[in-house]
Amino acid sequence: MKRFTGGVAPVAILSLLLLAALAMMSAATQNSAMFSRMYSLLLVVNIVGIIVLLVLIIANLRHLAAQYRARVMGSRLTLRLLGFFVLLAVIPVTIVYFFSIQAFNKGIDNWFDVKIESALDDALSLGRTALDAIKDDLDKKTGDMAFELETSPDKLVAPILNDLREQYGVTEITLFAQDGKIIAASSQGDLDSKTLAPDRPNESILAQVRLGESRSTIDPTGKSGLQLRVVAPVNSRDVGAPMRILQVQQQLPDRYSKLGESVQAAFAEYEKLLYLRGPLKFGFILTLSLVALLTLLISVWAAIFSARRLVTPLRDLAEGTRAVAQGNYRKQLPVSGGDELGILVKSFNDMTRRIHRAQSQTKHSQREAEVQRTYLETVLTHLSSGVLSFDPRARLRTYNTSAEQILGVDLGKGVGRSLAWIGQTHAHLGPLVQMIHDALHTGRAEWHAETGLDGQAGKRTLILRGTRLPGLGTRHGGHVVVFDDISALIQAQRDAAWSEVARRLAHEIKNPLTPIRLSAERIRHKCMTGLDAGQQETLERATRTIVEQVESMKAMVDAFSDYAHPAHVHPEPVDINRLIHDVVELYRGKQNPMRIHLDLAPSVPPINADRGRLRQVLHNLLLNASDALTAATEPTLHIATRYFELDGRRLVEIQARDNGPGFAASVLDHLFEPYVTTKEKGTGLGLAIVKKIVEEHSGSLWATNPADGGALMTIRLPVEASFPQIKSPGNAQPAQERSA
Amino acid sequence: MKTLKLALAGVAGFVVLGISTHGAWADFVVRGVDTQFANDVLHISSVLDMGLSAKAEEALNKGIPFDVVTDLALIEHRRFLWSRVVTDRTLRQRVQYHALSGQYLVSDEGQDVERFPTAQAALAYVGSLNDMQIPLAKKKAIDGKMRYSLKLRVRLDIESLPAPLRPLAYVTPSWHHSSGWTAWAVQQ
Repeated sequence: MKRFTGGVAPVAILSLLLLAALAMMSAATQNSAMFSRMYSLLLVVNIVGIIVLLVLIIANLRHLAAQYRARVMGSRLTLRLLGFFVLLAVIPVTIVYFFSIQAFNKGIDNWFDVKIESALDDALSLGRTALDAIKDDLDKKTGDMAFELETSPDKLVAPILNDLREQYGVTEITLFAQDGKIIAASSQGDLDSKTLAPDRPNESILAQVRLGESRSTIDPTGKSGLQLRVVAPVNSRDVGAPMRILQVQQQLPDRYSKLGESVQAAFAEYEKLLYLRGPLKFGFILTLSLVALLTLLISVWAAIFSARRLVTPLRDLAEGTRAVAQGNYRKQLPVSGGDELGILVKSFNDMTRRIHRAQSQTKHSQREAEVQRTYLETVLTHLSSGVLSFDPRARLRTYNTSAEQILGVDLGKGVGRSLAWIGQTHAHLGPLVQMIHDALHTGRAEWHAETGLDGQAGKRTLILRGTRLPGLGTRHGGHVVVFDDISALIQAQRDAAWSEVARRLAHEIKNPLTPIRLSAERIRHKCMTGLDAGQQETLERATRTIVEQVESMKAMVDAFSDYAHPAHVHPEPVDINRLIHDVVELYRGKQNPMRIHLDLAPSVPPINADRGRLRQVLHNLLLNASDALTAATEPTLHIATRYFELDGRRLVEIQARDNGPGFAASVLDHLFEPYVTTKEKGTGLGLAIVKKIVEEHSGSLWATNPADGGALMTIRLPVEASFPQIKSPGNAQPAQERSA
Repeated sequence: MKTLKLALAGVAGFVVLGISTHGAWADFVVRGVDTQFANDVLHISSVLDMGLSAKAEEALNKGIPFDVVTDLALIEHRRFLWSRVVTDRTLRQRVQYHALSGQYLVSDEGQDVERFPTAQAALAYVGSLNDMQIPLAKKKAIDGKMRYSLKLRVRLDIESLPAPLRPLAYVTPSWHHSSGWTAWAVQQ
């Protein structure tokens, strides 16, 4: 439907058909025989066609108005152009129409002249007068013939009629009975008659004659012939005889006939035209009005079509520009033609194509950069080393997860901040920040450094490597700092060293102890008998001292040996709260003044561990605490447990906190190393063994001195601990898990 | 859409007006028709009143030729089926005023010309059928057991008027002369 109402071809065809129909109608109005028969049909076709065209135009105008109200792009310009075109068409058509109407009216009126009308009337009267004279003569002749026939009987009347016809020089004589039946007739042999039967007068004439009156008429015959007819009664002289009727016909000479018919035709045509003057005017005006209306409608349609055709590329361009403004660079406009608008549309299409291509390349580059960035991020994230990058003004740009884990801070808020801000926000990072700051300001391309870091899990050692990044042109590209927590490595090295010490002690010291002891006992046995009591006592004391010290040294060496040798772990589900209860009960008694408070979380699940080894850990902790609290007035130990998840690992934490003097600062960094003790009789292996067992369970521990006094020992054990094959202390590896 | 509806309503109104005015002016009146079968020939005689409006009569007197059309149809009324047209016939006669002779000429399609002194006489002749015979083409076309009727209509053919007069004649009731269809039983 839209194609029909909006397309140019259907309307053009309709318009051509209507114009053709109007041309035929105009020809019909001018009395064209060919189209005269179709006049009414043509009129209806034209009216219906014009109504259809009008409806189509109204539909298009309504559509345009709706577009205008909806502020569709290009509708205003379309309407403006349409109005302009319509104005251009309406004014000349209207002027031509009104002047044509005037011309038609005057022209048709000029056809009819009073003089011509009068002349035709006169000509007709003249013709009638001339014919009347001949008719009167024939009337008189007919009266004479009727008189002669009054005495003629019907049977003998035929030759008489023939004689009368020849005598009076008439064309045909016919005698009828009163009822109209032919009695006899006589006619000229060369009469151009279609039938042999005489021409009968009609009933009205016969009726008039029966009343005794004669009747004469001028009868047109054939195409251009005229004849006179006189019908008169023939009264019989015999009394009672019926009346007969005589008809005499006289063919007028050809010249008379032609002249008469010419006058008749001219008069009739003029009269007809005179009568048809009004309808003719109406017909012409109707045709002209239809032509004007059709011209106007076609003009309006052409205006609509032209306006749309002109505005369409502009509207497309406007929509295309809007699309480009909204980021749609794929927009391609239909090229309407090779004119300037077409060139403009082609240029627009070329522009959008180029922009689209450039944008695609940019997007591709962005995607590649994103892939590279993601790749780098992935590598950095899964790197065990901490990575920090700084811009040329020493502001933090990027960091990885390991950096946050090693430093124990959330670096997200520090992105874009200066080093100083990071140092101020996280006080424990002060030395590290200062070192990085100094290194960056030296301007060296690469640098190495090592520093300590105080953290929640104790003091740790970091090794740092810095590199200057390449910049764009003459600008500096910033720096990247990579650092590792080597505390575990150092600890492992220390553990290995101590294992070696233990092994040598076992090998180098323990072996001579037995001969020393045996030698001391032999000296006492051999020499005792020859000595006096005083000397015996001295020998006894000396050898006893030797044996005791040897036993002491042997016990010490055994302890180191136990520490150095790999333990056999028997993992099983252990309820840690219950185990703490069991161990703590052994330390509650009148002989032990230490008060023990338990704060055990009921949600702590059973952990996979060696019950005996964990029991030893608890014993050592309690012994350590008990020894540390000997001088305290109210020795108190708080033991707490809790269960939580950290970095996807389920952990159980045990904290033991006393109210003693805390760990000495001199030993805090080496607390878990063998031979580190502040006790006079301590072996220095208690906490070293604790650390060893905890690490066997893939756990971690650290000791701190809380700000409000006392000492705090924290142990974290995984719920599902894995127990790799335990190696000798000499091959011990650094712990994989770092305490948080 | 509203405009379209108005335009359609206007056209419909024009058509309805034309139909109504067509039926309102019917001064050709069939007074009587006598029909009968005889030897497979239908004999028809009829009498009509043929009156013309003043406008039409004026046009006739001014030399405008009138075509008067007589439509005939022989209908067979069947008992169980719809009626059928056995035969039909159209008779066209032209009435024209001859100014020189002062007569009204009536000519049929066979070019036979009758002359009458008055328009009424000419029209009376045109409207009346005097033993018109219509031979039935097929033998036994007429079933003696069936009922037959003759439908007759006499009308002035506006299409035969001069082209400029036709638009006015179509929309002017005084130009609509028709007897309308009348049905008459056929005697067997």
